[in-house]
Amino acid sequence: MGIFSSRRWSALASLGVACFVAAAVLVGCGGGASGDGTGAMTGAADQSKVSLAENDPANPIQILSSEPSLVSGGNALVQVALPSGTAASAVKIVAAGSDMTSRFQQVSPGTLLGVVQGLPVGTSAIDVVPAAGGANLATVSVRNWPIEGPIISGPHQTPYFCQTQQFLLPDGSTLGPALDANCSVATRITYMYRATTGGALKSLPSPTALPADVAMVTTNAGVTVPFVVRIETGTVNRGIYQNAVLFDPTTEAAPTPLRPPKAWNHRLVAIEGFGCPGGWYTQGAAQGNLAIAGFDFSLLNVDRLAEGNAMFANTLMHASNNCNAVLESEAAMMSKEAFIEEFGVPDFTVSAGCSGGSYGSAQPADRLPKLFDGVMILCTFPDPLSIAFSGSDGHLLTHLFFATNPGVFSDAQIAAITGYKNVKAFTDAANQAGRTDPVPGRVDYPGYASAPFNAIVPVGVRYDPIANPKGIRGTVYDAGKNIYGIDAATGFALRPFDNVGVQYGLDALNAGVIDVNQFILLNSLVGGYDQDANYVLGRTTGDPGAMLRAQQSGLQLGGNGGLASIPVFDVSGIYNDDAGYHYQWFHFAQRDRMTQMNGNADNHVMWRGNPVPSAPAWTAFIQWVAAYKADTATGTQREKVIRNKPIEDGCWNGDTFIAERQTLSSAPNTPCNALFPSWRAPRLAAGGPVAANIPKCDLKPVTASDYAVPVTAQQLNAIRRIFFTGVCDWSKPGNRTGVVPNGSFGPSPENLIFTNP
Amino acid sequence: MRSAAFALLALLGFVGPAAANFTGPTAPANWTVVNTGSLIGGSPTLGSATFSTTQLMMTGSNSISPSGLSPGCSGGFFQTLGPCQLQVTINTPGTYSFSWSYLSSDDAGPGGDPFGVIVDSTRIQLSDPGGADAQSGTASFAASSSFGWFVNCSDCIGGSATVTISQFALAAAIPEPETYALIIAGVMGLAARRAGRRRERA
Repeated sequence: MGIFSSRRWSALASLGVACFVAAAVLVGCGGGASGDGTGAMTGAADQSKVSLAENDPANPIQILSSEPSLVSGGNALVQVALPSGTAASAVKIVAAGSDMTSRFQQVSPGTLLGVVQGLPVGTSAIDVVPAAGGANLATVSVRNWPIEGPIISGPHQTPYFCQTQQFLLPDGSTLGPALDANCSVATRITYMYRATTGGALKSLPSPTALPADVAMVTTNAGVTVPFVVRIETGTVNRGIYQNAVLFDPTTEAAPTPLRPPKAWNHRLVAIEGFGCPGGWYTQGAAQGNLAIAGFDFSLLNVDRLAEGNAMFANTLMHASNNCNAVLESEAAMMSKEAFIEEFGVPDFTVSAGCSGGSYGSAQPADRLPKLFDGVMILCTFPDPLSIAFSGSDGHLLTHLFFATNPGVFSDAQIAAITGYKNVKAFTDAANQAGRTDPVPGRVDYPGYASAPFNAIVPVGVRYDPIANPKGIRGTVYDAGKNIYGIDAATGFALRPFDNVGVQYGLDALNAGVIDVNQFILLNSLVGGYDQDANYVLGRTTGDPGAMLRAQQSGLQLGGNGGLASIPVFDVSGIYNDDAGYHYQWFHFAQRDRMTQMNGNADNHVMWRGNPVPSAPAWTAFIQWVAAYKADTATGTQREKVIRNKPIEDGCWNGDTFIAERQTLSSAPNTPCNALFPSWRAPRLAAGGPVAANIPKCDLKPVTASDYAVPVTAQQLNAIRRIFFTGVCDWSKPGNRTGVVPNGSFGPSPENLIFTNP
Repeated sequence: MRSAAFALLALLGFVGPAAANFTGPTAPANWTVVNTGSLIGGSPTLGSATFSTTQLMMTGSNSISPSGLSPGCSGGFFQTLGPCQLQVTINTPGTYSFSWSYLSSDDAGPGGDPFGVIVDSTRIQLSDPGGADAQSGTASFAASSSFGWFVNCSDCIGGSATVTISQFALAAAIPEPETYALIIAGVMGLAARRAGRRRERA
């Protein structure tokens, strides 16, 4: 959040009030390029002259809870910098025509802070006017959106199933029936406390008296308070929003930005989630609380709360409820805004999670660069798309290996062709293609599950190509159809998967593990998919728009957005390349993307272990974020992040840390790789980059020099006939683009990338 | 009773050779020759089949790629059993035995023009796509409704394949055990009825 400093105002103030007015409109003073010199704005804002995308740092009015164009729920935390020598009583603050002055307080000399309320949906103005009347002293345009959204994620997903009646509050009660079709509920506060005997939090019997057994806790800011946690639950962006923070209701008044909980250390932690299959059409009946490998990513993690951190979550930030990162980032953005409007601006906000929580942290951070100030990721995937794409490659291969051509390839050959450690590792990953398959009940390789839905979605509304061809489709693509686009003929989401030119098994051929005829057979028969994920003979050509927007949106993690300038700490989480599809190559894919886009990944640190000790990892991460945020010296944010990095790559052998740059290798060529060897995936074993971020490769003609083994003229002809448009030239970037920071898919017009016709 | 036994033997004799070579029930006129799919390449040459009483010679389709090396068959891809093929079929159940001789003139080898049988509408490939240009073998397949051969041109460019079928024989369908039981029961019933009539006359 850009905050207009009082120091900066002092310089401007010397030029007088006239400049104050002009600065609000003309962006700067002392030589405005155009305009009538007064720049006073009243009433409705003139959108043609004022960009709402970001706070104008020259404007004395700053929106602290969101960007001016992305206000939601009618509220905004506003800071006003007064001209030097101007008393607070000399001005009025008017929002959309309503006097909000009484809601503001002077928080430092010349600086007012307050929450404006009641902003109408649409564009309106917040004005600073002389109390005695007269022309505006400053104005800012804001655009307010309904608290149920959408803002940047495109039209609401329909149908959408409320789960307020299933959502359990910490005291065991539920939220009851939703109040409207947006699954809204009245906000409620519950309190839990920790007893002196430790253990799980207990329900506070009364908010007016503390129980005798309440424990005391001292935060990392040195504040000692009763261990009582205030948990707020409401609805934001149609998801169930919660925040939690130490708070003593017996001594403290309801929190506001002007009066935050005294134990809050002004650090905010986002709780993400896990999963993805089935994450569509539902509000979610739970947050994505997850304890794994010694880490606890839960809203009520007592260690994090004891440190004084505030926590927040939204069920739509949990991939098991929502597997669309654009919607997830919107939910996080709006939930953070709601938090700020209630508690104030945190010193920093971090997000941490495992698996779905890793991309739940990284994707929104990349899309919305101001959302998170650091991410700690475990069980890392760059994005759900990398799981879907590698799964789709693998699924084609399972079909070939086990259904149409059984016995042609040995297990060792299958492992070499697919890049995985073994057949089990391969098939586990391949079965993840189920999340791209809309056809219910498809019988395929054991463990494959098509059309995964949350049980709350009635069977009768689900897509079936015969029985219900207009039904809703449970795929990762259809969940993101606002981004991928819609096929006008079918109404289905356009699909970004493409395998034209991919020489499956290329590395296995060149290593001599398979022969040329096997290579030819493999590539001639592997085929592709149609829109229903049915097998087809030819390769699949992805939709160009879907592939482009997958990247612009960050549904395919770019690494060039917010991730370029915050600490990214990858802490392994799960080490298991034998099964389960949480494989090491995904970790390196994410880092390689950051390297490609930013020149290096010096703001990325990887620790591997089985597991990595959680306490030193968390401590190092927070130290890193705090250090760069406190760095006021000259430099870009990225430079500050890198120069304040307190840790380097390494791996943990039990309690022993081995400092070593982590690399992707299945060979025991380093101490860490001996402990944690890593394998790959089919497209990597086809010569593709570890970054796995080229949806459609550039093509080149087939040449014999591509192959490290002898190839006859006839075999070369066969390869050319298979790849009649050419083979992938992985030395080229293909259609790789990267994320468009702050990209919108409507209705917000700022940074608008795409809306479906 | 003697006549009933004779009838049973006659019925059991149904399993004996019904046809050898392309004569009688398997004479050329009883086969259907079709080129399926659509060639889209230049100078298309449709597949052809030529019978003699002892041999069937089939040559698959071919064309010139419409563009570079793109397929000359709509929906066809190299080395896959695509839609474009010459097929020679007959709707007669039985066990088909034959020798085959395959020769590919495709510049990409036999993978470009797969050859095989169609048993009850299911294609079974006999040629080895990674094998030599010249291949041969003997085979026997039991069909419950129809049988035939195909020469698929996959992407239908680069040259065709020629297949010669010889030493062909059809053994008519072998009844299932249940069928035998019905036949025997029927014959026994017939015999019993005749015996009853004789007793009545007597």
